[in-house]
Amino acid sequence: MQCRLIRDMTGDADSDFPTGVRPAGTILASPPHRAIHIVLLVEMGCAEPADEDCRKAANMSPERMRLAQEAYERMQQRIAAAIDPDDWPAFDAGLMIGYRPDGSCIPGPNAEPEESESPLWTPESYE
Amino acid sequence: MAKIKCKGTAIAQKLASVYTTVAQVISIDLPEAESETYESDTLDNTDAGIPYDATGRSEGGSCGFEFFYDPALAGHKALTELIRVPQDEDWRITFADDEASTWSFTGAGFTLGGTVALNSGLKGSAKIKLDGIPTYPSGGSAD
Repeated sequence: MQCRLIRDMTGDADSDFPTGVRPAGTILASPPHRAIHIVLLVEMGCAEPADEDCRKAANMSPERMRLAQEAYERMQQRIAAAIDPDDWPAFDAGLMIGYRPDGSCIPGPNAEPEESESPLWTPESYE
Repeated sequence: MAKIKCKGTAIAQKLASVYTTVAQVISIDLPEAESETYESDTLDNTDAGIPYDATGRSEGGSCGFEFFYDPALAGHKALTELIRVPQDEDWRITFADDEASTWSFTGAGFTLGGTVALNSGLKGSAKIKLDGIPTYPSGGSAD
């Protein structure tokens, strides 16, 4: 059973992959007793089926594969940005992208603009 | 010298030669490795203190982690698969330092459980019994 990576992924360095990185497009195979690993990589959104056995075992529609791939990408982004689990919904919604040193959230592209302080009312501004 | 934050640390399981990050991890207990010693006291030792010597072996210990468990998530199915079909599995912890330092190790045994509580989300807990010791950033060996 075989799958094809759809993203660069890290493994152990060896003669074929001196840096350890398996680039997108790399075909992975597993011995029969670990064939489930190939299927799991597809279900996780890291790979796509590369043979009929894998396609049948994964039994995923293109839409389900797309959702799995998006979910994996989202998780990688959460980890890379060190997002607290409580803030995952806000991060996923683009309301925040990380934290400032004081722990407050850095607004994301979908955050409402912070209210600027209103200028003091003065008689002159009324005129 | 730096104080490294914990958020951003990841534990990954090797599937078909690539490491896949375990999703929704809350905390990780690093392997408590220990160099083995034996009591080397003798009857003619006049000191009160009990001497110890190294056997030359090191115990890798166990690595544990807690996570928000999603039974339908493929990455979490990879964990239950280790119970269904016990086998050696390679793992890697990547720290949130600038170098993205890692501890890599082989797990020989695996324990999986969880907690269902009214005041929290569904949580899983896992423990990996190490085969050998981790490969540390200093270049230590996992053999």
